[in-house]
Amino acid sequence: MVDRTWAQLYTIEGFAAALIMLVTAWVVLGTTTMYTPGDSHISDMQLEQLGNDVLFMMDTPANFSVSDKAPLQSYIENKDGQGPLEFDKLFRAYCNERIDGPPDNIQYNATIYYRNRIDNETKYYLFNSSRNIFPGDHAVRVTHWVLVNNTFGDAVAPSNVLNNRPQTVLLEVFLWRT
Amino acid sequence: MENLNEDAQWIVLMGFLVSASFFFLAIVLNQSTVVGQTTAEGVVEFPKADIRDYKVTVLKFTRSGLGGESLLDISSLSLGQRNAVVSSVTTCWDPPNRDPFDPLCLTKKTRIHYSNGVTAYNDTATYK
Repeated sequence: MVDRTWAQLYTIEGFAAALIMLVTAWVVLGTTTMYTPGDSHISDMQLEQLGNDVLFMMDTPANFSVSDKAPLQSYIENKDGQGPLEFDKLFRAYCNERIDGPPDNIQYNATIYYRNRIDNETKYYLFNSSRNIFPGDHAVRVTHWVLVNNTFGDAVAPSNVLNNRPQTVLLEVFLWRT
Repeated sequence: MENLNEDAQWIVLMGFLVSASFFFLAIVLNQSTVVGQTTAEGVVEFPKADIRDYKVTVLKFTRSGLGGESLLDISSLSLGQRNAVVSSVTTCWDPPNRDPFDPLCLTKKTRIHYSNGVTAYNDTATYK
């Protein structure tokens, strides 16, 4: 009877040891790999940060005086005149400049969203774009609120697109690299 | 059976203890990559640019008093285009119970709320 008990204990120990080894092997192999949803989020985030910084820069007046206006505000208020062209120049310059080497190749597509006060609808106005195509893969979207102030009698077109009143519009820009 | 060989039993017990601590360390190493990934995702997902943009815009037109119906504009555009609920309340802080856009109000206080379904953010700004 003593021999059989010892043999049973021996067998159970063998099972336990085998299980422990299997679990250890699984834990070790599981440490090495992990599923991630694609590696593009880092470069997308960098492009998004760049776009946000550029729009913020453009919405800052050059001089700290009451009458000075931010470039972005005057471009949007001049949407029927030189505004889109000037926006294109400044935005492309800010985005594509590099410290050394040739300039970058970032394309954009800018739209203005505004609220129509009469029927409380959201409407959009295509501002400008560097290519006449819809952005494809890996395009990031950056937005910026712009206070457009029409009460100072600046060059604003009282068209049926923008209400002629002080309001806040949302400038949305798609950015992508070709 | 208990008093058979105390030294041997100690050795076996210490062996179990050491192997249990090895297991714990192995599991920590195994989970570390997943923890790092989800933490980094949480940091990147925080809508820092949106919140900052909204706060700066509210302060801008509150300070100058020239906003028109900007609060309504921002609320509906934010919900439609940015999938975020925003609201703000401005009161006068220095002489309390004054209208915040009264020139006699020396210090204003603005409370903003931002929520995009994943992150909710509340903030208070006091300024002249």
